[in-house]
Amino acid sequence: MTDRQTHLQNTGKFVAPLGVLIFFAAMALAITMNLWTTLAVVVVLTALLIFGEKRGFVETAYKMVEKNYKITVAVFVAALLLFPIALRGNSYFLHILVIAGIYAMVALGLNFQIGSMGQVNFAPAAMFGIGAYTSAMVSVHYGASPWLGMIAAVIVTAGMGVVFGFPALKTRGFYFSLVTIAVQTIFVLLVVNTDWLGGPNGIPGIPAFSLFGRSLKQTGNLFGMLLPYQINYIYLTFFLLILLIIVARRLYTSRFGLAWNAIEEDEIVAATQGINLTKLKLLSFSIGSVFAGIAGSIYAHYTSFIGTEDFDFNKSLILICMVLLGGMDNPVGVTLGAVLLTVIDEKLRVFADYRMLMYSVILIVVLVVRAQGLLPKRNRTYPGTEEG
Amino acid sequence: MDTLLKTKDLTINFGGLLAVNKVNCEMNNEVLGLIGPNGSGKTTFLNLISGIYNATDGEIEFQGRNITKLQASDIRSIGIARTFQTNRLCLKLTVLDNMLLGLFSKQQIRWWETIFNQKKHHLELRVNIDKCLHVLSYFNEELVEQKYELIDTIPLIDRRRIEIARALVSDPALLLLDEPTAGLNPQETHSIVEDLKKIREKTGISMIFIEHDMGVISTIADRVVVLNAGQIIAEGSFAEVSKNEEVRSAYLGS
Amino acid sequence: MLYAQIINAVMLGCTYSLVAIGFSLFFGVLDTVVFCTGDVAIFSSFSVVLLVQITALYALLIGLFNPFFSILITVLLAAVITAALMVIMYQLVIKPFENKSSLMPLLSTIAAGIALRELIGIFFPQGRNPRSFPELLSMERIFEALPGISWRNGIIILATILIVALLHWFINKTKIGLSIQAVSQNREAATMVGINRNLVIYVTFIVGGLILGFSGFLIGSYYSVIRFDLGASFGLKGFSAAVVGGLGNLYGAIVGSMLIAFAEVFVSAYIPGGTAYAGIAAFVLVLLFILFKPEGVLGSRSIEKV
Repeated sequence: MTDRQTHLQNTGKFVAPLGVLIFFAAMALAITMNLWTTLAVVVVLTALLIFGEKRGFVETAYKMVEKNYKITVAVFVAALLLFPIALRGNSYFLHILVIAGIYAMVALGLNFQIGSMGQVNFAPAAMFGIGAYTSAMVSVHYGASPWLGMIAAVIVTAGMGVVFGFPALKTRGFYFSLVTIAVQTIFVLLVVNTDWLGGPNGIPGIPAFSLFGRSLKQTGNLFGMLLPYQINYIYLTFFLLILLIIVARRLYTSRFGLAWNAIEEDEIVAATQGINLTKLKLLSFSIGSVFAGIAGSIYAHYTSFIGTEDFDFNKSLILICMVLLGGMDNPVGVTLGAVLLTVIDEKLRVFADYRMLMYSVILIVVLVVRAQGLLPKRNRTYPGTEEG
Repeated sequence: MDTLLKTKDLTINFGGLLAVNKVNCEMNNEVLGLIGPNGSGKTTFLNLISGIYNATDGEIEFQGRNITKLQASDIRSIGIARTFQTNRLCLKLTVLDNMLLGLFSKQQIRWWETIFNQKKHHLELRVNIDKCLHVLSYFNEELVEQKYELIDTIPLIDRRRIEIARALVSDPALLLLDEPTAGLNPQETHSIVEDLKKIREKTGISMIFIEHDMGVISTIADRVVVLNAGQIIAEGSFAEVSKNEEVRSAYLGS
Repeated sequence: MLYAQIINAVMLGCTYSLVAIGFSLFFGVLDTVVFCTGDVAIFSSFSVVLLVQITALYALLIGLFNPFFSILITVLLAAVITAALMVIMYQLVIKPFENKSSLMPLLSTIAAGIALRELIGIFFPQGRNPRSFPELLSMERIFEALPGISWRNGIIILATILIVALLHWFINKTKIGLSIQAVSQNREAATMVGINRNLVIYVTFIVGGLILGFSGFLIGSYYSVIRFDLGASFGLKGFSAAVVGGLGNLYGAIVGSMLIAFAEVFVSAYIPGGTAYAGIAAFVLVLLFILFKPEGVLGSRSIEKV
């Protein structure tokens, strides 16, 4: 072990957790302060990342985290648990966190297509919607538990992923994108015109999740502190989100993640390496759809009302923005992008007219200036499998 | 089971152009040199065997099994690997990742196992990485050191080596090489050819070798097949073929 | 009934076809789908509104010339503005991504379309409300005996035919038009024989911009009420029509537009409760084509190069 590595290991024990704490402080600032503070946080973060990349600090930071993985994760989880409690005074801030978590899940699912396979799917919001509607219908019309609704959402979205994946098999590039745009449009039109699904009025009165006989919509009480019900949903969302990040990371380092990357670069080469394009594409689609389905289910049982405006083409575009801004094919980056954009979006509510303009400008600027996103994809390394 | 690969009236029609026209070819365990002028259908022939194109007519048999209708991915799995004339490695992936791609069909792990059974995943990955590095080191020890480098930064000669290594790593029975020496200088060409010869001696793998350099063909090929306008016009040892009048006028130009 | 539906479908097809031609033209030279095409067409409709209702240019012209010339000058001006916008679009959101992954221009042009639409919504006076389009073409019947064919409809059909004919002449008879064809068919070979690809691209964008400029006027006249976000649906229908007809094939774009228009009109007319599903019909048609005949009606299937 070289001096430098030892040094990293020693200082990293403190620096890495400290970095996590600073990150949370910055996020708290971004969520609680006004739009300009949020934008300042994003700008500082971007500047740090770009500058840090040039000087190699980002690589060092990654190494520090890797060498001190356990303590960093422990601090991260502790901070994540305490974070909502610290913000408990304002349930709107907590609401932003729940929504951020939900969008992060959909964005992670979308990343399997855009980030890994380089195929732009314009229908993530439709999948998100299918999950939400399935879950809502199961619990509203059939009176089943919302958890059953979530399971139903997973099954239906997995199936839908395969169904919609099929046209995608025969096409790529623009044709593929047109297929997904068609799917997205058909979804909204069908729902609006189907009375059984609430039509243009949406579905109101969706029951909340309950756990151990306690509804997640009940306010909590911890050592005399009043905890708004959103905190329950934050924990649920964060728990599932972390599980999904782990799933995404494991797939990324597996032969499947590698095969998706190969398909992105050159389908013919991928096929001659023994990669079954059909299976791999359908896999990317169904897994991505299931992520969106889980997120949709939580969304339905959190907001208790869903309508097609939550799942339209613009929402799909925002989700694509999240993946691109965060960093394609980097689960942590995608999550970061989703959280940042959700926060900015909420802060922009006052300027509702400018929202879509802002997204389109962000998209173009990211593409021109930094197409790899805030946290670019990293080359796979396989620590622990080398000799010595 | 003596015959490794056999094509029967293999034909492909590209909108009226018979790029490969009723080719009957048989090969045993040997190195087959495939020569012919540009546009004579050599690469198309390899594309047909490797499943990239579907034959319009005719059959391909590999180890006694009809593989005409198989997909490219299945053909790799049953033991036919190939390289490309234009050196098609995945530029955005590292050396090691490119090698691991070559092992895709040999890996057993299922997608849910990579999520829920990390132990198995790591175990298999470890074996695979060792295998990849072993094959790489055979070509060039330095490549093992560069395993985490992007292909972008690797010189052409090493890219050629990596592409061949990627094909070999899954232990195929037949290796299809589409001009592995294109764009290389004479020393580099020599080094690649020596490597291939050694591999042939060591593993006994069969090869179909498309090449323009007759010097290379004469040293490595056990037998030569000459294509012209999609049809075989001659076959036999290099010495025999190079004496053939039709071949000389069509190809050797003397 | 049937007669009226056929007229409807033909009219709708005309409004789609110029947008679809725009898609095909740009795709031909760039191998990229320029998704903001529909929004550019609607931008042109708004330019006409601007010239006629806001700057009162039309009122000025009508004092000098007869109505025909006044309309022509107004529309030409709008088309020129649109062509300029198209060139700016190329510079800003397409050129930076040449030789890069094809998903980048795809995303950037979609984003540019949204930006354009939102800019109209924000900066055009009352931009987010539906706007009545100036009634420049008379709604009176040309022949008393033939209902449905008003001067407006007749002029829209004639103008579409005229523009297509002009484009046909331009593409097939002029040197630069032939260069556009050459670049569309084989970029490398075209460069090798000394065709200036950059020039060809700019000319294509100017010509495409002009066509979209005219289409904006026709669309506005036909619908008589326009909305800032109409570009989204026109973009989708136009692209769909181009794909159905065979992407990159100009005449295919017309065939595709007619097919989609007929599908929409007939679904809404003859299927009970079909009005709601007319939009779906178009997309189902596109899905079927992509799945079973991806080269479209008139396109030719190319062999993927290995």
